[in-house]
Amino acid sequence: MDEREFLARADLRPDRLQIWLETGWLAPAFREGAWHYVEIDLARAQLIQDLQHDLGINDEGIAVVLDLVDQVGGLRHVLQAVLRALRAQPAAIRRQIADDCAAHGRT
Amino acid sequence: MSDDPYAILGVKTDAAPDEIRKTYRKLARKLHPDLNPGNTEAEEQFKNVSRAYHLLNDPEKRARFDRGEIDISGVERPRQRYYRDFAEPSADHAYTSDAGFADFDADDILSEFFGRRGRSNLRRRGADPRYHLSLDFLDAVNGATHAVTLPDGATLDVRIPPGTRDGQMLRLRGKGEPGQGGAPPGDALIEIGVRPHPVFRREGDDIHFEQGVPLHAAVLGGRIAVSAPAGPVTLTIPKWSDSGKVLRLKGKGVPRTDGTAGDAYVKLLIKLPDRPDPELERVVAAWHRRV
Repeated sequence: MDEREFLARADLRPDRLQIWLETGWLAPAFREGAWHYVEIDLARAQLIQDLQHDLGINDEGIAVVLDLVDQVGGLRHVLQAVLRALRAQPAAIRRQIADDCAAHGRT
Repeated sequence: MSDDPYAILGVKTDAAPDEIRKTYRKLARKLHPDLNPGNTEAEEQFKNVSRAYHLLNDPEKRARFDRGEIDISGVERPRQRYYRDFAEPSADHAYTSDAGFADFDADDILSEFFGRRGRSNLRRRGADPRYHLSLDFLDAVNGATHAVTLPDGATLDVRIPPGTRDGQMLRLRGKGEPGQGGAPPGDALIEIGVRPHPVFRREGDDIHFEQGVPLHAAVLGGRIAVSAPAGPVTLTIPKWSDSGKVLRLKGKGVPRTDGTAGDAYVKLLIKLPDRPDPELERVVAAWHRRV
């Protein structure tokens, strides 16, 4: 979606959006001289607005929260992929890996 | 789950709006689904807390609830799209972060999940640096081109549009800091200061100035050449014009963007000849005896 549609759907003022683009809080695709927004940008704008208004977090705090949310998201993504791959393994191998993990956990 | 918004938030029924907001914020920080990506219970609680807050935060809705006219089910909020629902299922988006395990150099197994984009996936528009440019009055009114030297030594030709005002901000698209990750550069913002002029004074789009008028033109009328901001113009002086009379030169003021221009207002000052003139003195003396 283009900037006009994004502003309307995110219920956002153009000057706020400009700041978010400059700080990197939002990073839509840039092609042929224009920003192109997708659903994840909209969801992220909603999260930023929640953090500002509902949670009362200031701008410095928001930068930290976004960074940690993205780190946790990355970790969860990888963990899910690893577990999915693990589930596809034969029972003996799964048992072996579970035992190894448990052994690491104790040291 | 209770249907009583006061109980959901844990506030008294006579709680002040400020207390309700503070309580809600505290709960929302704990329960927001994007801050609790693995906790489905938190999501359900957040939904309830958020409904309770949006009922009690609206004085009209709160009053109607207190009178028993509506219940909490009447304030379903449209939403919810949560960021995690878009960010987690894939690593193929701009916000992916591998910072949580970037130090796990385990045979590059993990980095393959993120490999396609690489680590530096930040896309950020360049910043908009501000500069100040001080202009001569006539350059601001008539327009000009000025070279501005930037802190890095580069020069930038700035076109000053005719009619530029003191304090106006000029935006030079794409002349700011470079963008990162393929994003566009920022804009250079140039704040204009206009130096005063010894003769001309600007009021909105009009120009005011004083003009000396020779005695004969003031008494008998005539046409004199005057310097307007855009150049010389001919001013028609009506017969018998006193000092302090203001004449308007239509369209000789400050140019506007729509092609029209303000007006120039000329205040006349009668000027005697540079040196005493015996003949003029005789004429005036004769005239004076008569009146």
